[in-house]
Amino acid sequence: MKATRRAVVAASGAATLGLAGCTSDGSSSTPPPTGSGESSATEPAAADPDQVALDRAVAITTDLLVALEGAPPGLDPAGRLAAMHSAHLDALQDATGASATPTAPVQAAPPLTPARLRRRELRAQGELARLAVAAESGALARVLASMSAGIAAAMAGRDRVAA
Amino acid sequence: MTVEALQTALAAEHAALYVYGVLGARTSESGTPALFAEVTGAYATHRAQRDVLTRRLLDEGAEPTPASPTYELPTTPTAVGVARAAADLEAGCAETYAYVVANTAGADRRWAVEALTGAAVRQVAFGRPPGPFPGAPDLT
Repeated sequence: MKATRRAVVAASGAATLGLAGCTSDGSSSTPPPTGSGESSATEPAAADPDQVALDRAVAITTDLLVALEGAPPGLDPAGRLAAMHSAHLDALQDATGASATPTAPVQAAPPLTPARLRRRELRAQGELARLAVAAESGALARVLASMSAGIAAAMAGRDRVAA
Repeated sequence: MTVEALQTALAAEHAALYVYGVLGARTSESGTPALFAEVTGAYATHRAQRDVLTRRLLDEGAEPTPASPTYELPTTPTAVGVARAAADLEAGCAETYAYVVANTAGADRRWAVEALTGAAVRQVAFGRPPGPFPGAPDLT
């Protein structure tokens, strides 16, 4: 088991990488205007792809959380899924420094059923995995991949209880 | 970082195969068929992952890290002990693959994300309650 322990240490090191280039307002990823009034100051700044990924992850997680808050009793026993998504949202907020408050969905969603809940969770899991693969920051990729794996494990846990 | 990360993962897979081999020998197919199926399934998965990593490192022109002559083994006199040891093993593998995710890109990272997810799901199969951040307990 020595190899595994070594990997754990390495993984802890990876966590200290930080989310270089990821800011909540994009200010550090775009040079400030020089004041000359020429060229770059008037061009729209390219969106930081990792910031876009973070924003998307916050939106995905917020949607899941809001849906669970309005779900019938018993659909999320002991609030385990909601607790997980809240933890995910906290981690994303730590990463962005932003305040991502869950908001009501714009469109009224159909009532959540176990099957619909499962589809939503697994769709979110897949999208978080894709965001992880595409992330430029390794540290951000690790956060998103772990969130995705957490959802997969949670759904496996529900299956295990139901079996 | 890619080769170093893949070598780390390969070392973890060598350890996992060794330990799962022992856990399989300590699991009764007739007495605990579900546990036996999980252990043998996990063994097959880790063997396949070891082979993928070995081929990938050879493609990179690197010498794949060899297995150690022996590994520390958990004390597992009971089925509960086997399941606990397997869950611990998968938790370690999840951390390894989270590290690989952070230190690779493209197809290697995609593969590592899948490996991380697999390890997280197997932890649950071995009775460990799911946590919010498999492979990244520092985020909790």
